[in-house]
Amino acid sequence: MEYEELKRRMSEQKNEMTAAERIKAYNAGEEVDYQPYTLQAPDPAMADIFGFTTTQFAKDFEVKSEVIRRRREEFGLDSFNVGLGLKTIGGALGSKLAAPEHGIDYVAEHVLKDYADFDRLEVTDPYKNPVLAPILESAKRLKDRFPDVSMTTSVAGPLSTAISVRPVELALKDTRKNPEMLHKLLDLTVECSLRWFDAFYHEFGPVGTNFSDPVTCMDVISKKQFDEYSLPYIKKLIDRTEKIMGSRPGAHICGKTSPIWSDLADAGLFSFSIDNCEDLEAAKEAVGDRMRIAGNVPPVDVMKEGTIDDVIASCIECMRKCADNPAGFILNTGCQLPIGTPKANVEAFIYAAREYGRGARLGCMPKGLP
Amino acid sequence: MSTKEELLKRLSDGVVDMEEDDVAEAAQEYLDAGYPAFDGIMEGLVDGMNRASQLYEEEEYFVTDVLLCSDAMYVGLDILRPFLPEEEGNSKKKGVIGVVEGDTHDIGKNLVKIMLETAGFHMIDLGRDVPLRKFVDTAKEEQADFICMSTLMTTTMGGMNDVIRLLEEEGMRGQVKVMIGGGPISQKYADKIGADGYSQNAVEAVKLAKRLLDIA
Repeated sequence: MEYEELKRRMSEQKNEMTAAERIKAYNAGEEVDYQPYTLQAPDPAMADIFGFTTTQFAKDFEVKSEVIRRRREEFGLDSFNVGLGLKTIGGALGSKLAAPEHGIDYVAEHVLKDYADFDRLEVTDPYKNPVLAPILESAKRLKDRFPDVSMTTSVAGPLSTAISVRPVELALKDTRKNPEMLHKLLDLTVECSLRWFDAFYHEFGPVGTNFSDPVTCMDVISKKQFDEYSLPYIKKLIDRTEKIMGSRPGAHICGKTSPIWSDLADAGLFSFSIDNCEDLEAAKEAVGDRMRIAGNVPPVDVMKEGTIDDVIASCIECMRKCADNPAGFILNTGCQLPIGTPKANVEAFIYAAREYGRGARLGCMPKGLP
Repeated sequence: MSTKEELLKRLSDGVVDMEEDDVAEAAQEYLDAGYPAFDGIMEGLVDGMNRASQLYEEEEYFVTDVLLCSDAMYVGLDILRPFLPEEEGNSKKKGVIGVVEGDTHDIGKNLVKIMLETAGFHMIDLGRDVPLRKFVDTAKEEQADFICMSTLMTTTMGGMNDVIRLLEEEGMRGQVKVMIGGGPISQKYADKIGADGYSQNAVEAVKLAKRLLDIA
């Protein structure tokens, strides 16, 4: 399909519900105008589409506001997230972070290379920590500017947070050579994350939460390591988040996760955003009655590099596989929306959700599917 | 006193069992008994690492195991290598490896390096966040046969394309094979940027390097 044709067809589509109305009705088991959708952690790609760098987005309040406004107007993304990235707690605890002008930040130097330094680390206070306090402040200003747009927050998963504090190879070796200290580190990182949720609740009341935990996949750790070093902390994070916010978090884990789906459902995860290397239908069959599933249009080969038709075909395939998931389905990308994704492909994604996801209902295939 | 075979087995088992101290002890005994360092490396340490990669391929071993096995292997290598005859190693195919600029995720790269070294390649490791020009300059200085690049991020994968372009500009593309890998990378992407090959994991990377360089 040519872009002009896509735009013409999109102009004929009408929103019948707001995003908040849609998800509320969907959760209640009512038919909604179309399949609820989201794009995984889209801010860097959105900033790029609107002509800003990631650094401008991160540092300039007006840029951030404009991106939030435009992605709502142009892409119907009717909520925004102010949360902690994969390395934020690491930075807050003293790791040195580096951020390219237009790209994703990384840990230049970890604060905890030697456990002799462990006692110097303290649970971070979101109101006082120089890395965290400005993020909380920015959340307040954004909420003032967009009072009617729902705001969510996020943290990194326990193991992923730990490797922003201590290099990943050392942390992996700790699982054999220094389990006791690794457990202490994980305890600390979970406390830091929960303290963030506490502060957020204190400022804004209950909001939706999620965490990303890319390290907790079977490409990096074994099931045995997951059981001992990840699952107990994920469970703690989920339980305490529910106590704080009154609702359970969602999560995204990159890579191979099928061996741990059942554990994640048992731990009480509300929704799971699944990587495109895994099969949505298999996930639905394994845990779909207990956990909402989101996914999983390939971010690189389809969203960034594919054509409008590739995007539409992939969205249809995802819905065919999983839209009737008993605990619900959110059409999503399989991982973060890449910087450099063309605007046309984002529009094609939304077009497909509206067109082929028409008449969606929890546990049922949408009426619009061919 | 242990026979050569017994010592080779201890070296190999020490690597598979991730026992650095056992490997160090066996390597010293092996040298003291006057056996050739080359066999100790190839039939002891490398044999152990090959067994470890087999276990990794079979999903018996995971990243952590391979890292710990390689730690044990390198302990043994440090002891045996000084006793290698000078001419050894000159005939090895040479590769330059690194994580492209802007990215610091290097577990995958490290695994690939370990496996390629084990398979007999001479690897020059540029580390992570490597300036693109450095891949080309190093390949030129070292007369490398191939370049391996990895990245986990979509924001930095374009750097691989730039390295291939730089190789073309330098007139080196014909002499240097390029293989790429990492989370967002696919065969499709390798084809698109004109890389010689893509591999999904470290074990496949060895097969790919052998295929590209016509090694049986």
